[in-house]
Amino acid sequence: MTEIRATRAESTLAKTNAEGVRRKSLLRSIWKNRVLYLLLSPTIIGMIVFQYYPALTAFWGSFHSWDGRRARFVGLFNYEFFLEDPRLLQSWVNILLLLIFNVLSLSMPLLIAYLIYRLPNPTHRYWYRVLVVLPIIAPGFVFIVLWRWLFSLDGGINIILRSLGVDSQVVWLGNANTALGSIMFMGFPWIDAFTVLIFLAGFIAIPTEMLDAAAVDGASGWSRFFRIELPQVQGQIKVLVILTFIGTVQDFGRALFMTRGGPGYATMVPGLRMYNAFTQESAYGYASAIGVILFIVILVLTLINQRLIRSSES
Amino acid sequence: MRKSVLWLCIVVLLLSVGVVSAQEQTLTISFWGNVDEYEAGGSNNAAWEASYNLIKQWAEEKGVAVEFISQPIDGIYDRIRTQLISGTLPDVVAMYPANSFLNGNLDLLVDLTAYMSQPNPYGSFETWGDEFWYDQSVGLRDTAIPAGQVYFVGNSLPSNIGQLVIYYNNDIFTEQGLQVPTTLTELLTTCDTLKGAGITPMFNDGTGPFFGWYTLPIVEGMYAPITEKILAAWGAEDAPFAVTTEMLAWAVQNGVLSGSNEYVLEGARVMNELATRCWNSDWQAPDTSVDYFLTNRTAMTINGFWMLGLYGGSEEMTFDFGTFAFPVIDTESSPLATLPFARRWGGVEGGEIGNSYMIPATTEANGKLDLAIDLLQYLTARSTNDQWCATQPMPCIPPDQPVSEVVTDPAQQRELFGFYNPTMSNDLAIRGIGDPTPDGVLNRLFMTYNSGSITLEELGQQVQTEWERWAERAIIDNGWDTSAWPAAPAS
Repeated sequence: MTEIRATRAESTLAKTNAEGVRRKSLLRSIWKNRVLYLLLSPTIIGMIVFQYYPALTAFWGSFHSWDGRRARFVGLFNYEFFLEDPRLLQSWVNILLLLIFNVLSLSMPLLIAYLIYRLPNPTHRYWYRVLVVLPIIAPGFVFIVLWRWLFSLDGGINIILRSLGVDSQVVWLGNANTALGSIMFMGFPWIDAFTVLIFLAGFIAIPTEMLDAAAVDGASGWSRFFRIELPQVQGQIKVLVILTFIGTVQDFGRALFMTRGGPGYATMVPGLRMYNAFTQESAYGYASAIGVILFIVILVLTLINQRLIRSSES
Repeated sequence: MRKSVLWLCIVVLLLSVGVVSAQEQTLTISFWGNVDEYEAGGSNNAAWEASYNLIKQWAEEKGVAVEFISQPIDGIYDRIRTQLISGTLPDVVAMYPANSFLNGNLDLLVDLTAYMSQPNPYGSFETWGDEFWYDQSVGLRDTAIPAGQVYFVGNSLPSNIGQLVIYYNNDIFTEQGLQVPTTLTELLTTCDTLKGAGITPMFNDGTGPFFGWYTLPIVEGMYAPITEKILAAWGAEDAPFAVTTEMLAWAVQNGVLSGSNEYVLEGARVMNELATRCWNSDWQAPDTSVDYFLTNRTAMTINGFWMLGLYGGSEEMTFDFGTFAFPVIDTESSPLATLPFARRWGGVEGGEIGNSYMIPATTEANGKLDLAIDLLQYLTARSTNDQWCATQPMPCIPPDQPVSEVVTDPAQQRELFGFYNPTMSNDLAIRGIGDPTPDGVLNRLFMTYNSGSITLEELGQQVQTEWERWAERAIIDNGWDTSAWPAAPAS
């Protein structure tokens, strides 16, 4: 009995010693790298204050009737209210359509990046790259104004159609049947400079030895692209698809600036419902609940996405 | 040596006192719109530009340093509300009063009621309250808004003005042999004539902030029997904006205001008639960079008094224009029309549409209340108001004086006609009924109905669902005691 006790005591002592050693070594390691930790701390503090704290506040707020000043606990009411929204299905369908379209439209920057990559002349390659990146300089507002005009009754698209002999009187953004499609069409030919650059970086990083070996094995044209080069930029595709998923579910800027979610509810998306609840109704609790739901949806979609891509890789 | 040190100390002390007192004599003002434009002069907003200059004049007279903080108009109420709650508003806020954003936060403002019975040092009357034009109690009630307490004071346009009118191209009207319509039937016929001549009758912007203002007079006109029921049940006095949000929630919960109500459905049908026969075909998404009326694309437009100065002073204006009030909905256009007049935006007194000012409670805590009160007294004294009036595109006309006595130029009379005729009264003023939802559910669904995607009955059903949801949440958010509500009226 005494032996057992002694053994236990020894084991506890050993554990305590081990913990003490670990703690000491951790503290020593922190002390040793104190400058790094010190330099990191403003960023971490900033993130806690400006990112984690608001997110946690939103989670708390989602269970309250909260007008920014007074909050009253209402349990799951805000969640129930959102989930029972008769417009919910339509806004998620809108998001789904935008999502499918945005993912598919990634093929355009992929194509452009590949074409630039295959240009034999480095000077030409440089200038094409500049050409693709240059529109970034224009403010986003100009983009919105331009597309609003293009879609207007006497705007660019109708002018083109009329010049082709089609008497187009379509109000692209003012018609429930064409508004969502018009928002998708915005930014045609959907060449996002950053996306092109990411793809281009991926193509450039492909080892020349691999391409030479493929050439020796007779790979050329489509087979070279699909069997050698495309698999090599899979990492980039994966990242961009995930970012597109997150971006599309979060985004409501286009709907807000182009149509305010209308006509009626034709271009309404959940993010805009959140924005309206916050800005027009001062319903911070309800807006928070929508935000939490969006967070969960994005998280789940990202996990599914990652799982799918991982299984396809294996 | 010692003496000079002593003198030096005295000088430093005096200078610091001077600096401290100079610091006390500063006032920050949150100002409506872009101050730089007012400073440059000739801005689009004569009313605020005049107020801006008056404040500068006061600052100069009093030796006070004033710092203006521009408040972009887009999202201004939301921003000011947030600043009010967080206690970060400047010392004085210059804005158009609105009650909705202040709900539940009035304790964060300085209650000016007690000051009203005291003299205004800049005034010429016994009390500050007397400085306001005409029946100051009504004028102030409109301005102050809640519970009879005064939280806002302002300059007033002393005349019975409806804010929104229809501007028309008089050249086109003369060319087509058209008269100013006095009933909705006449307006619709006017639209048909114009359309027949290949002219788009009327501009409307469904995406703009004034769309709700535009549709509300029609809704108010059609919903008159519902309004009567609500006011009767609550024992409320008939007045501008008399129907509160709580009353609307009660009306929805008790079936008084519902999507299946015949007046609600008829209101939508009438509006659809107007949209189809009169509005620009792209009304749901117009090219907002272009003023359709000014550029001769439409013969009419609906807009506020602020456009008078802009249209009148525009180099682009190539035609003679006039205004008329939105006409009465007659029984020929709708068998359910009950009102012999059209409801109008604007309070029954000028104060409602004048530029107004409020003082956040933080100003008192900062020891600047007296200075802020002094500014407000200066701005609203009758003599200063007259000075302010003199710079407006719309002259300040006492209600018992005919406009023609003040304005003799026939062209100017035509331009002002819609604002003064018919004379505004309690009967005409908007009383607050309509779509209670902040997101404008009725208008959103009306757009869907107008585009032919749903029928009138489906519109009613969808409106009903949305209103019920809104009422349910409004009760929870506001913590209203529904047991204290009046009983449901007998159907």
